[in-house]
Amino acid sequence: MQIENALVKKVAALARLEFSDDSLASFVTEFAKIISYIEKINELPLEGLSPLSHPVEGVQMLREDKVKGSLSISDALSNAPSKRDGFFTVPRVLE
Amino acid sequence: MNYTPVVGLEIHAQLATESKLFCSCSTEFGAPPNSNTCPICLGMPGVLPVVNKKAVKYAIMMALATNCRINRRSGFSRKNYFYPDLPKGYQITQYEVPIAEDGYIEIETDGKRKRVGITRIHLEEDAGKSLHPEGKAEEVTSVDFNRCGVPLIEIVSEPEISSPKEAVAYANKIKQLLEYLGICRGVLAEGNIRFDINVSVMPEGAGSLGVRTEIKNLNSFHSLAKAIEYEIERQIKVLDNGGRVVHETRLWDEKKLITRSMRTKEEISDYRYFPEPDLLTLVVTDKWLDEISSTLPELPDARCSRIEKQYGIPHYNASVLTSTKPLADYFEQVAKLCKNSVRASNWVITEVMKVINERKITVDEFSVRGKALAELLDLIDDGVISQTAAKEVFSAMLETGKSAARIVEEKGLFRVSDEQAIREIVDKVIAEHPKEVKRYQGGKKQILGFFIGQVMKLSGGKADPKVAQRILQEVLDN
Repeated sequence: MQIENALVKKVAALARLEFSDDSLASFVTEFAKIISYIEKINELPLEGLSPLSHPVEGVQMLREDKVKGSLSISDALSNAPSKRDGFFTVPRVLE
Repeated sequence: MNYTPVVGLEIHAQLATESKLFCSCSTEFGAPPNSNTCPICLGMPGVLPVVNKKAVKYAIMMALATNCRINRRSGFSRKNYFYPDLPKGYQITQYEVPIAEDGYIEIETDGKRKRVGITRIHLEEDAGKSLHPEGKAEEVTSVDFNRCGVPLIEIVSEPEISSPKEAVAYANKIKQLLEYLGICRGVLAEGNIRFDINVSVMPEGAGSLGVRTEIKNLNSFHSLAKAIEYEIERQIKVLDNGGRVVHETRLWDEKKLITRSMRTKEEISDYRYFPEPDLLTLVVTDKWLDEISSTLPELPDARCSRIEKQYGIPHYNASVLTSTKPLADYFEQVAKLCKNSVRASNWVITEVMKVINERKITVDEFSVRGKALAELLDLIDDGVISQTAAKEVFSAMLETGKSAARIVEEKGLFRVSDEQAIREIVDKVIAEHPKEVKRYQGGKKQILGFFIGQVMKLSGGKADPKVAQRILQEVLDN
């Protein structure tokens, strides 16, 4: 898989990350290394095998539908950098 | 150029569980902001989601009710995107293998039945709620995470709907099923059920579908119909003018009744779905599935045909009466206790529903309960009161809460079938209307109805109209 600047920039944008053009070049090299390492898997003969949907064997345990306590509002908001009237507040997202 | 509209619906329904999908916080609507949150639904590091068994059960119930195939092994994935109402930065949903696939429901529009395919039903968690207070000096968005993690099922239809009317019939049927199953509170105004639509138009004779647009988050049947109608017309206009429809998500403007462009649709891979590592495969065993199927309540279509046969009422009445479960329950209560179930069906769909609609109340809030109405209707069938008097008694029952028998007694509304009393009224009516009598005797037999009306009026609605008619004919024809 060809790793280009544009792909790294797209991944960065999706992850809301910003970095300088210098580091861009090093990311391109690192991405290429990681991807080619992972691509080794493609060499395995996998015909006739069903896809592995989860790396861990086992069955999901389910819980009963019971309400147990929640955090107090002040505890819930205690790590928020910005809050008001019991709400978390963020820079306005609608124009 | 003629076009065929092609519409598909994605319906999000909140499941009426007590606790959230992956944690034990309450799902209560309208609680103070951020009072129903915990480290799991706030997306704090190091926590583990645990699936709510009842939410899975409810999803299976809906899948059975919509003739879907239940996948015995399904899984959860992460759908990654950033928005303030999504504290984890991803939504846990079902992607590769949903809990159910390949179903259908039947809808009826203008007396025609049609089958609409269900592509899939999957379980996922709801997001929080963002509020954008208007006119505030500080430009902020406030976020309430109470709704984060409330269980949803998303029901995806095949693009087999071809008009706004069909879309509403389909959405209504889904809502009806959710309510009959008792798995969703079904209050559209509280966002219990939300609609996403995709709309395209296909030029007549074209073999393939046109480019579709998507409109998200409609929360009433009215806006559902209006948005589809507008979008079909808009796309036809674009195509007729030689333009091209752009694949995009559009916003429904409730005030202007138009859709407008929001942003070009992000490529699907941008969500970077991957298996949720914190959850294992969701397994539905034979035993559990049998248990759920065997306790499934009677569904609307089955109930409609049963009620029609069991009580010998017209199909139309049966379908109106089964439109909601509480209404059907109410009718059956009346019908079982009274002598004339056809009369019961007519009274419930006219008199009872009129009051319910006028007062904007639910059937359960309606003050004249089934037993009381049955007693009133029996008074008609026992010949104690006339149909006209019954309506008066009904109004009085609504106002006073007294029993029908007591009101009849207090108001002296006993039906007059006493021949002598009616004969006196007939004589009076004839004496007062010599012109009409002449016209009648001159051959205008159809004005007999006028005379009957007059007799009923003079008797205060108490005369037996059949007796009145017989005596009138006797007197007038001689």
